[in-house]
Amino acid sequence: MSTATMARSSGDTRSEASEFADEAAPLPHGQAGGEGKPWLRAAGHVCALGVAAVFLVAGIGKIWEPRQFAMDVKNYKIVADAYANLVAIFLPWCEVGAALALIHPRYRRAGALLIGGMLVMFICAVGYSALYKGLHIDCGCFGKAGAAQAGWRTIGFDALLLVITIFSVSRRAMPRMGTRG
Amino acid sequence: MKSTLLTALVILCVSSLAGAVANTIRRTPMTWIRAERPVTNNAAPEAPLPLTTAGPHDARADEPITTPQSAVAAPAKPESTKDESAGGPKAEEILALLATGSARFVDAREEREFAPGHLRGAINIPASAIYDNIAKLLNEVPTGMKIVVYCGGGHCEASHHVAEALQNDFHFENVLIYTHGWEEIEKVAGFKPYVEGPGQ
Repeated sequence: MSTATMARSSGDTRSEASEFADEAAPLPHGQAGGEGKPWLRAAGHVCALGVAAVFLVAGIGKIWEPRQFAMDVKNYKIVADAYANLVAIFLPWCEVGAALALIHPRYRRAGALLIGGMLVMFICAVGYSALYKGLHIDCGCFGKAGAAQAGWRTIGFDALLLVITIFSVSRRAMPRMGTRG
Repeated sequence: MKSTLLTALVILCVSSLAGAVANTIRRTPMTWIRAERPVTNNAAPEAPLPLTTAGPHDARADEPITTPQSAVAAPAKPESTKDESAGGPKAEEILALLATGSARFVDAREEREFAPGHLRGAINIPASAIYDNIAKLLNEVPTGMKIVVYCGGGHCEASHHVAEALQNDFHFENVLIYTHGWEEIEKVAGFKPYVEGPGQ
C-alpha cells in the first residue's frame, strides 16, 4: 500500500469517526434534541408513533377509496370542484409519507413539519366549512373507515394531534441521534 | 431548519409521485381534473318537466318511457313548500314512476335513516359511503335505466352527491334528483302504499 493510499485511508477513517462522534454527542443547546430525560424521550417517541399511526390509518383509508375522499373534499366547498380529484389523489399519499417520516428519528422534524401543516390546514377547513358556513358534512378524516360529521370534535382531535406532534419534536423529547434532519 | 425544510420538500415530492403512479396504475384511474357532467335536473326550467324528458342534459331525453301521459300530467301550480328553485320531478311524476316501475330509486340517506322507512325497492347508497354500496346498484340496474335519487328533502345534498357519482363515475345516463325527497314522501298521502320499513 502506498503512502498516499494509507493517508487517504487514514483520512477516511478519521472522517467516519468524526461523523459518528457528531451523531453520538449531545447536540448544542437550542438546536436539536437529546436534552431530555430518557422517559421524556421515550414519551416523545411514543407520541410520534401514535400520530404516525393515526396518519397512516387516515392516509391508507383514503388511498383505498379516493373517489369517496374526493367527494368529501368537494363537500367542504373550499377547493374548486374540478380540483377535488387532485387533492384526493395526492393528499393521502402525503399523509402516509409524512407519517413514515415521523416514525424515523432522523426525519422526524420534517415529518412533524408536514403533519403540523396538514393539521392546521384541516382545522382551518373544518372551522370554515362546518362551523363558519354551517355545512353538515362528513369530515372525511379516515376515508370510509370512520365517517363522522365535521365539527368541534374534529377540530379538538386535530388540535390534540397537533400538540402531540409538537411535543414529539420538542428539544427534550427528541432522541440524541439523527435529530438534525 | 433549512435541511428540515428540504427533507419535507423531498417527502412531499416523493409522496406526490407515489400518488400519481398509484392513480395511473389503478384499475379504474381517477381523472386528474374532474369534468363535471351536471345532473339532469340540477338546472331544470321553472316550468314542470314532462316525464318524457328527464332534463336538458339527459342523453336519453328523446326516449319515451312507458308511463301513460295522463298519469304524469304535470301539476298546474308548484306544490312544493320550499326550495322552489331546485326544480326536479314533482310528487305526481314520482308516483307515476313508482306505479309503472319504470325507474329504480336510490335512497341517499344514511342507513340509520333508511332503515325505519324508505320507498319500496329503493337501494340505499348513503352519500358517505357511495363506493362501498355501489355494487348493489351495479348488480341490479343497467346503466341506461332511469334512476331517481332522493334524500331527506329540503336542503339535503346527499342526493346531489350520489347522483353526480352515478353519472360521472359510473356512467349512468338517466339520473334524476327528487329534491323534495323523504320530507315530501312522508307528507303526501299518495306515497303511503309505496313506503316500506318497520317504522311504517
